[in-house]
Amino acid sequence: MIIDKISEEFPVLTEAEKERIFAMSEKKYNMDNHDKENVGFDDESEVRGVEQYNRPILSRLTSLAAAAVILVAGISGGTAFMKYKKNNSAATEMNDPTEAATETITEKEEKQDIASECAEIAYRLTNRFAELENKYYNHALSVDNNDTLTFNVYNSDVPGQKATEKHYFRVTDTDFQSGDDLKNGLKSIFTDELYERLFSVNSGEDYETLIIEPQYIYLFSSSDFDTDLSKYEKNSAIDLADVNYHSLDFITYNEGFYVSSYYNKPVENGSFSSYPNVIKIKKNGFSATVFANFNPFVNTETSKVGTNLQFDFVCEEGEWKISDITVGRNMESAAAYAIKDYFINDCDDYDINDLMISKDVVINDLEEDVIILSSNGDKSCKVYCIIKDKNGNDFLEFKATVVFTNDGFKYGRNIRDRSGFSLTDIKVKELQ
Amino acid sequence: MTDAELKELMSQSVPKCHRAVFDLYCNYVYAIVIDILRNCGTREDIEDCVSDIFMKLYKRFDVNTDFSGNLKGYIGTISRNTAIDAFRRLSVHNNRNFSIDENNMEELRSDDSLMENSEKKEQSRIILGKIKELGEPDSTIIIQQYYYNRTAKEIAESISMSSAAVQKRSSRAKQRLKLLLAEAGIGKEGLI
Repeated sequence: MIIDKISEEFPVLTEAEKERIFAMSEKKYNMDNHDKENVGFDDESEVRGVEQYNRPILSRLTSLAAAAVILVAGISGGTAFMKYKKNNSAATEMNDPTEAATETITEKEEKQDIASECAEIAYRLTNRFAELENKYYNHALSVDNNDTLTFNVYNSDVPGQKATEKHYFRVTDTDFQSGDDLKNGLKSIFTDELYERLFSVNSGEDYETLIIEPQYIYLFSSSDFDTDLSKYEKNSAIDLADVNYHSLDFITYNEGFYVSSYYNKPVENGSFSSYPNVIKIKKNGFSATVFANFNPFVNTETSKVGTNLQFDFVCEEGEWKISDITVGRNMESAAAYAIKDYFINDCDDYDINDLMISKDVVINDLEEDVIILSSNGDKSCKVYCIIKDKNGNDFLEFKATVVFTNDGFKYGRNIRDRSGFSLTDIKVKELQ
Repeated sequence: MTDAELKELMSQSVPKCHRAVFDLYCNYVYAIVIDILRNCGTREDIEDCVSDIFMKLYKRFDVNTDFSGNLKGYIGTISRNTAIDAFRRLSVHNNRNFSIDENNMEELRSDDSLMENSEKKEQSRIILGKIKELGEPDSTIIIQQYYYNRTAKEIAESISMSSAAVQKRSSRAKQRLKLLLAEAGIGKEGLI
């Protein structure tokens, strides 16, 4: 049986967990025996000899990525629908709205100029942020195709596993020649406080990482960089155990910096899907929201809108920097879950058992299929989705408006809270 | 430890026999329980259920117990039934809107349960094989993350890596696994 194999080959319980469970089972067994021997009842006496069993309250674990599912096929096509126009970005909240009536035209124009300038600052800094992430995550780098390396990579800890060929191209990006270049790039757009805050929380003795909470979105891991493979001859074999499971994404070789070709592909949706929307302007800075449609802020390759991020900006010594990043709602993920919830709980016309939608509420299996036709910030969106039948054939065309009632920056993770969304204007049509 | 050795141990010391049974089968029981309760139970609920199962087993074992025969099969049956009862109880408590009606419960309880269905079994065998093809530590990361619902931090601690490295490897491993499964003819429809 599969469960047999999983339990034997991938045992998961730690010693502490085993001891805890064993102690629980013994306690219950002993209490059960004790009850049989000592509990007596009469009409007037209280229950004697019964020990109240208090189930230990363990700390609840935060689900970090519980909605992920192993998906293979996705719907191709779909056109980019959102083209943000620069002159629509000034949705600021600088002052009490009642003051607007008394503002002079000059004051109003001034505020718009400030908001517009803030949006441009946000545009510049967030684009640099996306650029660095794409270089690191999606290997969006310029390379020399004539300067390549090939190694056969295997793992001596897994006997029988075949060696695989890994190819490398020398990176010609002048500002991305090492792990330090990436760190320095991030430091140039982050305040020192933000960099140190993200760095210090998430680094250990032998690794360095920048991670943005709450979604555990990482900016870099030093284990991806700078392993020097110069001692290996070209086309020779490399044991992963010798390089301590280095990802071998970026390596140095004879003082050159190389990137692997495994995930090296053109970045189609490698940027933001909206222009920065300035939401707050303060004396020493401002905040803006923008939808990030690139890794690691999206879950699928078909994402068109992505995740709402709030960036806070401050001016330090005449230079603008990002002082904080807050991760909000991923629109495709949230919309997909709302559609799934509808078919599981509210739809009377179709049986969930006839559809290719898992009843497992942890799995967000429509995420790759949903298309967001239009959206109003992260408050609502119009969605389109093809629902397949149990045989995998296109069966239903689904359209609706999804309205999110919870603040995406507070409830972005807790999409399984049904009070956080509602569907209106639902149209379901059977496809022929 | 063989069944005969367990019987011998039971005659010497009941607590020692309990411990031996627990050590032999805790991973197996845990895997069965989490397979049924992962969507409706917390970690506490799952551990509570596992301890209930072992309590039931202890109650059934005594010096006269005949440990010969299919002890593992017996434990598996007790585990599944107890987990299903817990599932029903937790589903009502959580006020989940899809109900486990009698038809579904029959599927879970019957000998031809979902787990035993030969077509699903073959597919599961293939999927597990492909996960193992990923190699370590990726296969452990995938199983711990998606079968056992462990967090990146917990996985990182268990395999001595950083949680960021675990998350990145997980993301990459998923993509590789997609390709491997596609080559084996298993698409999205086969995974639901």
